Amino acid sequence: MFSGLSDNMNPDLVAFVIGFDHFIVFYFIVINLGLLALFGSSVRSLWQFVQGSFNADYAQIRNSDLTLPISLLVPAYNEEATITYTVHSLLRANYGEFEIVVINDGSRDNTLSVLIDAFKMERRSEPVKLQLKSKPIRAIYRSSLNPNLVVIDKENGGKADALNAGLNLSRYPLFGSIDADSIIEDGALLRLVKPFIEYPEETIAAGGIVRVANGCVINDGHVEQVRLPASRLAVMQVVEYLRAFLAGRAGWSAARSLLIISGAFGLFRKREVIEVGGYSDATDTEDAEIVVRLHRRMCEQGRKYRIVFVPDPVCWTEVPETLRVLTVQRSRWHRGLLQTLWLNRGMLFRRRYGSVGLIGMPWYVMFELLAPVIEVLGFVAIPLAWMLGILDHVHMFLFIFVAFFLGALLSVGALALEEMTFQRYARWQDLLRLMVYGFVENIGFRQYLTLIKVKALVDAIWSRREWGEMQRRGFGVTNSQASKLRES
Amino acid sequence: MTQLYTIGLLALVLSVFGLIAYMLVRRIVLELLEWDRQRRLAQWSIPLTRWLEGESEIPPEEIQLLSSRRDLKIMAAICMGQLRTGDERIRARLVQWLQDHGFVTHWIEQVGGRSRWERARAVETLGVLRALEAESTLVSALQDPVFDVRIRAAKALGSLGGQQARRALVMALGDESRWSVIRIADILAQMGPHIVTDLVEAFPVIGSGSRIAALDIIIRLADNSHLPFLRSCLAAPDSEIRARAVAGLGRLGDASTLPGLLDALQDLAWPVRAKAAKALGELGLADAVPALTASLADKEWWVRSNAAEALRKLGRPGIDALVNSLSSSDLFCRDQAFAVLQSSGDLHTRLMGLVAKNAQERARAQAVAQALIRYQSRHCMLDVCNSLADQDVRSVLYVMLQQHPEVTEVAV
Repeated sequence: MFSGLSDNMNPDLVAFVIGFDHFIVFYFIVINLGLLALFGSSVRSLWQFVQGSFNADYAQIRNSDLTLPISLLVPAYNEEATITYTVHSLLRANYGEFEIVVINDGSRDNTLSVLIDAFKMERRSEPVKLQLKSKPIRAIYRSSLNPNLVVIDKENGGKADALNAGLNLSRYPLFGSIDADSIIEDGALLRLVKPFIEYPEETIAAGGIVRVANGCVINDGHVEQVRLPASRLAVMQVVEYLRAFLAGRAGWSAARSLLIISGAFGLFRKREVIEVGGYSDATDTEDAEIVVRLHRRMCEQGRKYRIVFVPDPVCWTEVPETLRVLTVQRSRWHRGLLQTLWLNRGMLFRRRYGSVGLIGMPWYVMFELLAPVIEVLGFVAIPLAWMLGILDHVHMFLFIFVAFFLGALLSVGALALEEMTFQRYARWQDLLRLMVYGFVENIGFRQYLTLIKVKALVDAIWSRREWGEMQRRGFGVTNSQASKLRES
Repeated sequence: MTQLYTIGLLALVLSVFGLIAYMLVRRIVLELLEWDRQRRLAQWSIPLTRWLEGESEIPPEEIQLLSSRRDLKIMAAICMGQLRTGDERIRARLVQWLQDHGFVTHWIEQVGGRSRWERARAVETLGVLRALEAESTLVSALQDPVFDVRIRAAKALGSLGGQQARRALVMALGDESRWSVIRIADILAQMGPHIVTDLVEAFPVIGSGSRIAALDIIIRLADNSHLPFLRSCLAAPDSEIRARAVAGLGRLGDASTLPGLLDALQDLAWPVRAKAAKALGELGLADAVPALTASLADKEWWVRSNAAEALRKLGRPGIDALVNSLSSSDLFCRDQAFAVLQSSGDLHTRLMGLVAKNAQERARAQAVAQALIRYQSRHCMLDVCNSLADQDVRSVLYVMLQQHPEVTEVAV
């Protein structure tokens, strides 16, 4: 494989390059075998899920007296474009007893006034039990149209702080964290609460699937037609989300090592979250950090627990359509991953933390956190070896093709899982586009994300933090309306 | 090494394109089948409807030439659609014709067939037809290994009614699938109150899973004549049965059930305690106040919450108990009492006594305020103050709060 060396080359350099290339190949084989194993585990767990829930009677769950009531916490910061759609979708949640707590986290736009007007909110003075610290609350509003809708107006303190404020006001033993730019599908809460009913003593958190809302036809907070977005960048994220949730989290959940429940849509038992001190603003990704902390606490106390992924409750969310916003978002995610893993580094390779400490955490450190760095070094080392004549061009191109098709296999595999199970993209053109993008995203897009992640690591080391602002178009808004909205 | 890479690459390429081909072929086949079904439905439904409604005396040719499985399936779909319209004239005509032409016999034979889909369809069709001659076949279909067939057979038997069908359905409550049991229970409940007698009779001989489902139906349909049966269930070893019996007793609302419900409030299983608390609230007897007050400190959220709500429903004595619980040494107890009093408005009513002329009333209100100041956070107390409409009451409460700088920012 490594041959054709020139005689006049520095032997140390040659030995280093060969050694490093061997390392890259070894790393590549291990990561891909791991990903394929994860994919296999996902297929198995999805198949079991579909078989087991085909005849699930969710009306029974909704009507049961013993179904636990839920508080839905919606932190909102400058969300005037989407907040009413989100609240409308939540009000139609088709669930027994629930309350919606929107936390206006010191928005600089008209989020609060939009809510007041849309839902006839009235200022109330309700007691708040300060179990978790948060920035001061300015006012509490309750809707005269829907008494189960409350809005907390507080000083800006970040998402974690807003969630803690919401937790203080919430009344029920289960709470869901919902992003203000997301739409929860009808019946999704019933599906997400199922593990809490099946294993009431053990389940402490459950996460649903997040799907891309860009391009979908949305009316009054309800996704009427599922379609792919026009933006290429957004379509690539559709493929990426399918791969991450169907071919990733389903497998991690089966392995009892689910480290992330998306902040956009998760359900938690309040008691345990308060026990661990609520959400922390020490990281950029409070959703991942709280899950890892819950794992840690439960393992340390030797309690039997479950943190699960449920693949059919759907949360629709807007994804970035510009590289700039995507860059900021992904930098934050990767920085947050580093911070979360660093804060909980004591769990690594410790039997006490079960599969999370022995499998989940090590995988995330070696193949999620550090993979971008090694990939970037690979981008340099492999062509360098070829240019130095250490690696012949046949092997180099074979390696590149194998890497490309492995990526494509995982993406197309995730699409096949989607087709066999939920089949949300019913239109032919959408299916074909998804297939094409299953290949295309492996050229450029994934490499770009890799570079962003490396930069994020550098930023984290230099302690540069930027949350970034997502440009919201607003659900159910056409392109022309969106441009008017931006102009205004 | 090159060979290994090449083989690996080939395997990958084949896998990727194999998956793509699978997805495409699957979609194409599904869409073609659907398109053909729609086409035939459109082609046949008009002449068939005309015949069924009596506009034409001779059945359309298509219905007489059914041969392939798919044709039969499509025709069955049209027939089912017609039968579901509920027009008895159409039903009689269609059933007669289907019987005359051996379709009912054919479907009865299909119930014992190899294909699970055929069995499920045949069972469903026989149910829609309400074919009495298929009763024993449908009873045997309740033992089918396929869940879907069993459910459809249960539905078919439900539409037939009759003693044999009822007994078979009661016994089918022991089905291994929880979801199947829920559906069968619904079917039985829809058969009317006379099913309760069948269920009570069968109760001692059916399995534990079936008992829970049977009890659910009995509770839904029971009347006071079933009180002794429900009381006997309170001694069942299974906590789920006890919980259901408690809920049933609460629903009947008979005062004689009070001792049993008070005992249930001490049950080891929390669902029984939670149901008992709720049932006592529904019963509305003040004798339950001490027991419900004690349950405010239960370790389970549902029991506390139901007990607090129940106390509120009991009126003055219950509200007094909640007010007293504001100074309980138990955090859970205080919290539940506070939440219920706050949401019901009773807290404000009591605090209004701070400016009352009657000294006794004023002292009671002061005791409430002192309890709040002692145990709730400053933030929470300020909110309570602000929410009071009466300026004088607010001022008094503010002054009381100022005298207690030790009130913490965060309640512990």
